Amino acid sequence: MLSFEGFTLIIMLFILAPIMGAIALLFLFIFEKRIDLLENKNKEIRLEQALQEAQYNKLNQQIQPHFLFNTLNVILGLARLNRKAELIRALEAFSQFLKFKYKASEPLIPLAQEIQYTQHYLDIQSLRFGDRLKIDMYCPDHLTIALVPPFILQTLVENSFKHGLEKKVGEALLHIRFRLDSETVHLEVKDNGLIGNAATAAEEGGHGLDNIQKRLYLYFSNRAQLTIASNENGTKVEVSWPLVFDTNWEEAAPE
Amino acid sequence: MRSRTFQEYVQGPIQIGMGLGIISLLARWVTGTTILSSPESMVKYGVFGGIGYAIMGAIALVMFSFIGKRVRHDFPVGLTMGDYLKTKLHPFGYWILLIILVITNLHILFIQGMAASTLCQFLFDTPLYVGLFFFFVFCILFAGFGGLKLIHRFAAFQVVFMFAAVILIPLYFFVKEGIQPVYDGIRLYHPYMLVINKYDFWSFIFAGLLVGFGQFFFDLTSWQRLFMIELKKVPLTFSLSGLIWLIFPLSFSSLFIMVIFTGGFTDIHSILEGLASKITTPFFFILFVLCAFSAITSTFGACLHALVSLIVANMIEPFQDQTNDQQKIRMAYLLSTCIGVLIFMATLFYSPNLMELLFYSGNIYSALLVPILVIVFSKRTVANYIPISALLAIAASYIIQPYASEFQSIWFSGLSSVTLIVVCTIVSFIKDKWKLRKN
Repeated sequence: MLSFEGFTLIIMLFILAPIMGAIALLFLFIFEKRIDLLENKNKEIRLEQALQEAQYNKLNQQIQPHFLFNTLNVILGLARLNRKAELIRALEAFSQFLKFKYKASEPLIPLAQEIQYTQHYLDIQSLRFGDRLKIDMYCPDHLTIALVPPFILQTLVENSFKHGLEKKVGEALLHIRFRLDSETVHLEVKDNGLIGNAATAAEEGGHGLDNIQKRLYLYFSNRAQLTIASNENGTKVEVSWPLVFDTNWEEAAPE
Repeated sequence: MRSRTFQEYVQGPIQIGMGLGIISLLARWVTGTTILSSPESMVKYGVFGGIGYAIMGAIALVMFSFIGKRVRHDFPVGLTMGDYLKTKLHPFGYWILLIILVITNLHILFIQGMAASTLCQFLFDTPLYVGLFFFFVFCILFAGFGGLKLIHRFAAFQVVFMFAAVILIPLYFFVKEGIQPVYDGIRLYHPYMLVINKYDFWSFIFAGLLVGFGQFFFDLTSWQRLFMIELKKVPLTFSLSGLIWLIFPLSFSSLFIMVIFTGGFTDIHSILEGLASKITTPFFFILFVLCAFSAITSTFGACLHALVSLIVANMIEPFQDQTNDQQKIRMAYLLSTCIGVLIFMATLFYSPNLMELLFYSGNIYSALLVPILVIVFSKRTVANYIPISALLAIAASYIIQPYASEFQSIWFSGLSSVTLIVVCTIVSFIKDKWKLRKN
């Protein structure tokens, strides 16, 4: 037999259930459109991100044939000069470079990887320039696991050669410096190449620098910067972007 | 208000969201019989019988959400249940189910007509045909001629009236009378209602589940709503509709408790009269009448519209080569008038007991439950023996009905369709294997 307490509970349920039902329905009516709107907004943002990613990847792809073309010219130059031993070493370095290049499909790669990649390019250039080329590269150990959009350093170095050092008679100096300053990574590429003014450098190196700028903007928006300055002593390009770490790389990095 | 295309007449101008979907489903499923069946089950099987009735209905709607998801996944665009069945059945089986669908839907309309007749008798002193005439004219105009757009426009008001009644009237009564006197009264006059383990409670629950599931899964209106609700919102809309629907039978049961705690009663209609004498405040009386009227008209309208849409889209159209939308809509108008007149006549001249009618259809729904599940969840076109098994099970259950109890014939009906399907499946499997071996 149902007790009075049980009966009271059941009557309470009978009375409260319709009120709760009405509130639920009212809530649905008021918020359904807003929830739909938020969902659509979220979808829109995701689509926009996907579009940006596609644009970014497209830019990444663009930079590669640009470099390949120039490197092949370097190798061609060695062949024309009949410098067979250097040509072999250049092809070795180039093969290493390509091996890396086709692996790099990530939107951001660790700095160590980017440096190694650029090193292959520098190896090729060292063969061409011989003792004339002096490279001074410095990157603090703790920055090697910081993430960077691929081909940034390589493009800047390539531009230094293309627009400055190629025309330089005598010693060719290239300084590459990485530093960390208030959670921002700064990269400075300085050469003593012969270039008249910064505007010309920016115009001539337009394609590469423009690409870097676009990619940095897509990934870091206004928090990344690129400046270029030229005088009779050479050209200095400075790039800065927010410090980003990949946790997987962080764990894998040596102490 | 005229619909521009037949699709607009059937499905409305746009796909509906969760809120309107729930309102539309509530308008269909809070029926004249919900008002009476839940208290009836409470009187017969105790307080938990009433709760069990409500929960069974809710579970059935929640379960339909799984079916709905599957159906929309397999067949995203359709107008009626017939469109889906056409893709899953051979022509013979398809026509068997179409005819059963038409008969069951006419039966639902007749039950609502009977409920309207009870309400008219209870409310007006005028001859029955006058009240019924206005009821049918109203329903034919708003549902048959107005199409889905007008049905949904009315549904919003109808659901508001129903909610207002089920919230305010029980609250008013229990605040006025208190729970203790009600409990004492029930204990004195109807102690059997407070017994928890009634011997036939579980029989009622199992039979109710069979009938409830069959009825919800084989309902033209629910299927039509299924195709008009946004795809991603289908499962949640049906589940929430089930949960919200639950409150209506519960609340109606509490209303009837209020009537019977002061004395005995002869039948469910005398409870209705008792309720009228109890609701002395005009506001609540009008609210109750509006609620009952809304429940009956919304169900009648939704079912009439769904039936007319099925007949035009799936039964007439295949035989007419070139029918444009306007012709189809005119056909729908004509059909709704004809069906309205037919039900009006039937209600006027034939008046069986409402509860008898309900149990009468139990055998059909119970027999249809497993076939419809097989149709929905099978990947290919299903063989003709599936709908035929439902037909045979219905026939067999009506043959044994005079020799068995209500529940027994419902179980028999469900079990025979399952048995027939299993046997036929095994036989066809063996046949296939045999053919393969021969080849």
